[in-house]
Amino acid sequence: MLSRRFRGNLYSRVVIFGLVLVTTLAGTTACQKKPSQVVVYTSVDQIYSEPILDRFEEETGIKALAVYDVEAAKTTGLVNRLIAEKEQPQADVFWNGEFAQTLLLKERGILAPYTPEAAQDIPAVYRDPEGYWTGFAGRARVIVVNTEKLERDEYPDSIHDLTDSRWPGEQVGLAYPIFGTTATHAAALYAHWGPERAQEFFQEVRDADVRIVDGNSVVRDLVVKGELLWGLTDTDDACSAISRGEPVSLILPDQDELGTLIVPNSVALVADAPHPEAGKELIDYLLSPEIDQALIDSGWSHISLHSQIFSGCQEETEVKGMEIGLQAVYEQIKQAQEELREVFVR
Amino acid sequence: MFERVVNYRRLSWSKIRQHSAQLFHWLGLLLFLSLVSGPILAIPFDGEPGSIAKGEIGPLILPQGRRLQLLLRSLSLAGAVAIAGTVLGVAVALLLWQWHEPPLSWLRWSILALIALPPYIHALTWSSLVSQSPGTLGAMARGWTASWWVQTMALLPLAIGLALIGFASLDPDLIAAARIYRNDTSCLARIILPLVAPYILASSGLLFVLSLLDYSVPTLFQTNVYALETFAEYSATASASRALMTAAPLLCISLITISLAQSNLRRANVKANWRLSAWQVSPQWPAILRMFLQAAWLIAAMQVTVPLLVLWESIRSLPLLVDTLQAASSEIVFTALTSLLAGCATTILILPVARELSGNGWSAAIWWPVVMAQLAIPPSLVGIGSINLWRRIAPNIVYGRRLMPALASLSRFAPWGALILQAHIRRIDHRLLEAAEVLQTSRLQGFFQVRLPILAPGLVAAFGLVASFTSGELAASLIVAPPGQGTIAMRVYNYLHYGASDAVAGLCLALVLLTLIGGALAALFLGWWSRLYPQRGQP
Repeated sequence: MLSRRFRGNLYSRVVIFGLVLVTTLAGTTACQKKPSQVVVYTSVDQIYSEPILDRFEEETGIKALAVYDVEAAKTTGLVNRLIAEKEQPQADVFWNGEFAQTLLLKERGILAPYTPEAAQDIPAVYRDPEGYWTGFAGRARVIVVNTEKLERDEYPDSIHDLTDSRWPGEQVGLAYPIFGTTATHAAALYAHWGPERAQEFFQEVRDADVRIVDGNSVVRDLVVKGELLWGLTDTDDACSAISRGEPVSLILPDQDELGTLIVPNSVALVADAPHPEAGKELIDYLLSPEIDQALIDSGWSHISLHSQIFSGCQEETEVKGMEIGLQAVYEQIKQAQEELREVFVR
Repeated sequence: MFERVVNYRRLSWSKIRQHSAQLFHWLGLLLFLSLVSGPILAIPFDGEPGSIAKGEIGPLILPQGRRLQLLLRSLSLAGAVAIAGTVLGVAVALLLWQWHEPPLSWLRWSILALIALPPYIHALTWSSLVSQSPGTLGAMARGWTASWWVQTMALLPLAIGLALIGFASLDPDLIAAARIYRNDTSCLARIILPLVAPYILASSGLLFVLSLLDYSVPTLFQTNVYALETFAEYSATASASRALMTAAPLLCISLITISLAQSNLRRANVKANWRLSAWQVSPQWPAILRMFLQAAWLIAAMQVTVPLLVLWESIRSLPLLVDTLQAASSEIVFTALTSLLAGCATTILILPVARELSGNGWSAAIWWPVVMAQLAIPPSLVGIGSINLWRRIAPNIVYGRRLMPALASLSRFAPWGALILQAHIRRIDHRLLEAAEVLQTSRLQGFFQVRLPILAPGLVAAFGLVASFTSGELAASLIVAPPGQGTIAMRVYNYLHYGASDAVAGLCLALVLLTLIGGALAALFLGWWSRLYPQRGQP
C-alpha cells in the first residue's frame, strides 16, 4: 500500500527534505525582529574598530552590525561587495582605513552626500567638497627598521633609499604597489612626479631586487624577524610591533622635501541605506574628537588631521605630508596599478 | 465530455505518478544548478554593463607576453606540487593502509583534519621555522622552491586521504591471491599500483588544480603566479566580469585536467567493504623501498607536527588562549553552524548529480564539465555571484541573511562532494539495489534500509570534506557574511594583519580541533551504521 503512495524514488524525498530545510531556515532568519541598528562595512582591522563600535552601541543604544575586511582579500573584499549590492544596499556606513576606494565608490554612485557638523573642523583637503565623504584619523606611510641589524646612523630616511645600493635589495621590503595603501602611495607619487618619472622610479626599485611581499603586515613581520633590514609600511603596522616590544623603530620618510603620504580614514553614508539616520549618527560619532583620540590611543591612527602631529608609539613630532590632493591621487590610481602590474607581477 | 475530461485527468495523473521518480530526479538536478551553479552564472550581472569593450575580450582571455610567462610558471609550480604531493601521499597511504586494527585504523583518517588549516597558516609556520635556520636553508625561505614545498605540505593531507581511499577500495581477495604466486614487491608493482592508478591520477589532478588556483602561498614567498593576476585585475577594475575573463585560462586548464584525471576512475577496481583488510600478514618490502617509505613517513610527520608545534609554541599562556576563544565564541559557533549546514545541504544536493556523473552516457558528458567548472572559479567571484543571484530571487529571505555564507560555500565545495559520492556510487554492488527493488515492501523502506546505508560512507565523506573546507573558507564568506556575523577564518586573517600570532595560533588550533571532532563524530556514525546494517563479508 505504502509503495503505491510513494512513487517517487529516493531523490524525491531527499529533494523535498532539502526544500523544507532551506525554507525553514530562511524563514527563521527572515522573521528575526530588527532592533534599532546601523550596518557598517569597515576595512579598519577588527581589533581596532570593534571596540569603537561597541562604545558607540553602549552610548547610543543603536546596535552596530559590522562587516570587517581583511588584508588578504587584496581590496577585492568590501568595496566590490558594496558595488555588487548597489541596487539593494545592506550597509549604511562605509568606514574605510584609507581614501582611494571611497573615491571609487563615489564615482560608481554608491555613496550619498552627508556633511556632518564635525567635518567643518577638518582641513578642506581631507573632505569631499560635495560632502560624499569625510576624512579623519590619519595614518602615514613610514619606514620600519630593525634596530638590532642597523645602527642609528645606518637608518634610511627617504623612499629613494629603496634603490640605494647601501642596503642590499633583498634585505629591503615593500608590499605589492598594486594593492592597498602601497598602491595609493604609488598613485600619489604618480600624481606628484608625473607618470613617467614615477614608473622609472618603480622600475629602479625592481632592478634593485627589492623584496616585493604580500602586504604591509608582512613587511613588518619580516623586519621584526630580521629577514629584512627595513621596509616601507603603514604607521599602524610599525606601531603594533613597537608596542609589542619588538626590536624595530619607525622613521617618517622624506621630511626635508617630498614629505610622506598621509592616509586618512574616510567615512561615508551609503546611498539608499536601510538606516540612514542611524548611519548619520555613527558618522557624527566617528568624527568626534574623542574617537579621534581613541583611535590614536588604540594604535590604529597616529596622526590627528587637525594638528598633523605624529603621536602614539614614538615621541611626538610634526609630520610633513605630501602636498597633493586626494582627488589627484585617486585619478592616478588606475594607471599606476596597470603599469606597476606590468613591472612587478611577472 | 465530462467523462472524457475525468479520464484524461486520470490518465495524466497516472503518467505523472509513473514518471514522478524521474521528475524528482530532474528537480534535484535543477536545484543543484540553481544553488551551486547559479552564483557562477550570475557573475556577469555585476551591475557594470558595457564595462568590457569587444576588442578587450581576446587579450583578457588569451594570455600573452608577461601573462603567458606567469601562466607557464603557475603550470610548472602546480605540476611539481602535484607530482611531489602524489608520490608522498601514495607512500604514506601505503603505510597507513596496513593499519587495519582499531584504533589505528580510525586514527589514520585523522590526518584529514589538517585540510581545514588554511594554506596561508602552513606557509607562515614553515616560513617561521625555516627563517630561523642558518645558512642556505634560511635563504630558501622564499622563491619557487619554498612555494613548492609549502604548497606540497599544505595539500599533503588531501593527497594521503585520496590515496588511502584508493588502497582501501582494493579487493583484498585479489591481493591475497597474488601474494601466493608473487613476492610483495612484485604484487605492489604489478597488481596494487596499477589497480590504484585511477585514484592516484585523480588525486594528482586535484592537487594540480588546487595549487594552480592558489595565489596566497606563492605571493607570501615572492613567487608571482597567474592566480594573482586575476586578483590584480579585479582589484584594479572592480569588475567581476573582467576578473572572470582573466581567470578563463585557469578555468579551461582545470577543466581539462580534472576531466582527464577523473576519466579513469570509472574503470577503477573496487570492493564493497573498506573494513576488510588486505594485509593480515605484514608485507615484506625490499630495503630501498622501506627507506623511501620511512622518509615519506618522516616528511608526513613533519607536515603534521610543524604547524601544530609552531602554533602551540605561539600560544603564550593558556588563560590568553581561553580569552581568545571566548572573544571569538560567536565566530566559532557561526562557523560550526555554517559548516554543518553546508555539509548537510551538500549531502542532499549531490545525490542526483553524483548519479549522473557515475553514468557513461551523454548526460554524464554534460554534467562533468558543469561540475568541474565550479572548482576553478576564484572564490571572491563566487561571493559576488551569490549576491547577484540572491538579491534578485530571494531579496528578503536569503540575501543578507545567515544562510548566505553556507550557500556560497555550497557553490564552492558541493562539486567536491559530488565527485566523492560518484566515486562511491561506482563501487556499490548494484545487485543489492536490484534485490531491494524486488523485495522492498515500500520505496521508503528500501531507501532507509538499503540505499541510504549503502550510500552512507560516500555521503559522510562528502559531508566531512565540504564541512572542513567551509570551516576554513575566507574570500567568499567575506563578500556574503551577514552584518554582525563573521567566521573564524575572517577573525584569523584580521589578527594576522595585526600580528597577534598567539591569537592566530589559538584560533587555528580551535579550527583543527573542530574538524577533528566533526571527523570523529562522522567516524562514530559510520561505525554505528555499519554495525546496524552489516555488509558483505561481515558478521
